[in-house]
Amino acid sequence: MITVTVQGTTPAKLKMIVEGVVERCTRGTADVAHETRNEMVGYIKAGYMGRGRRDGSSGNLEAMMQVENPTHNTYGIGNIMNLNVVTPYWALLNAGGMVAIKARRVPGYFGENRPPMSAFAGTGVGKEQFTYTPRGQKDFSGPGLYGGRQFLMVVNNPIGAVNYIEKTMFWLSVVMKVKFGQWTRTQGYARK
Amino acid sequence: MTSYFRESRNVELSLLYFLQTSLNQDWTGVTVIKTFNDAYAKDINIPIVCVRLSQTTTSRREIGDDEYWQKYLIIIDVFSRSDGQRLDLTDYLKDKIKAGWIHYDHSHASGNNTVLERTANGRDYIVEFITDSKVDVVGGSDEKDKFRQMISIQVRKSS
Repeated sequence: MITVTVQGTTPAKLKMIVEGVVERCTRGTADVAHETRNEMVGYIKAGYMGRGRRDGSSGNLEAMMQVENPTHNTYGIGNIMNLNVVTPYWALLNAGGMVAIKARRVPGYFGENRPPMSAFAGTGVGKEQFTYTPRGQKDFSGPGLYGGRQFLMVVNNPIGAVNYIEKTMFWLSVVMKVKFGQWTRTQGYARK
Repeated sequence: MTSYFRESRNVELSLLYFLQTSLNQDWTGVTVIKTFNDAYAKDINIPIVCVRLSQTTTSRREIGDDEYWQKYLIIIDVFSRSDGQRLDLTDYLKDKIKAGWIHYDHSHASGNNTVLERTANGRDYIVEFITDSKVDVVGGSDEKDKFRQMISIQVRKSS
């Protein structure tokens, strides 16, 4: 008589092990996505801080950076279509650059309808958020020291690059190598 | 007395020097700068290559060792005259840096920070290309932003 003994892992047990690993990977990926989002928001905030956050900042860019899960196990941070509508300056802030052709004037006003004038130097005017108002689109009935007038700001300096996308990707690549490497080693998946 | 620069600064300056010498040999009229705002200065004309160290991550070299290991994020902005030049210059730069470059320790005599002394000390090399894309900024309409590429790389110094 021949006796057949099954040794090692049965197909059913292997299936359970694989499903367990997949489950842990799925949860891990979601955690990484949320951590990455937090890191990116940190870089955006730090970018603002470096330049002095202006009164009246909406915080829209930080708020727009939400984790999206379009398909199973796929995560994205920020929806580019929404970003282009709500915070179209996301790319300019990331890459830096001039908001207008140098020496061209940009219409708008600071704070409560204050003009960008050197006479206000040291008073805090100019450190407030600049509200861009395309010519003819300003509500002239609003309150303000200058009767709702529209002013022209001469652009001299570029917006500095925050590079929050590159910084986040840099951070993520290091984290993936270190953390994923540690995880695979502790789980016994690393190459012996 | 001589002032010696530390590793991060040396990594940035070594790449700057490498690209300056390479571009001087192979291209005409390309300016290499370190400060982003200078790219928009009136007296600096495109094409411009701006190299800057943006971020550093620091980790322990190994358990029980007090040495640390730094990786650097370097951003290279390419401001070009045309779309074709943007692509050519980008490919040229990637081709040049892919094999790494000499790492120099920089120093200068006290009171004279215009003349830098360089001593070769190993190599810097690319761990990873992080991004390489055209910069298309909504609202950006300056001449210098029209044909712009941004390359970001992760760099390490050889031990």
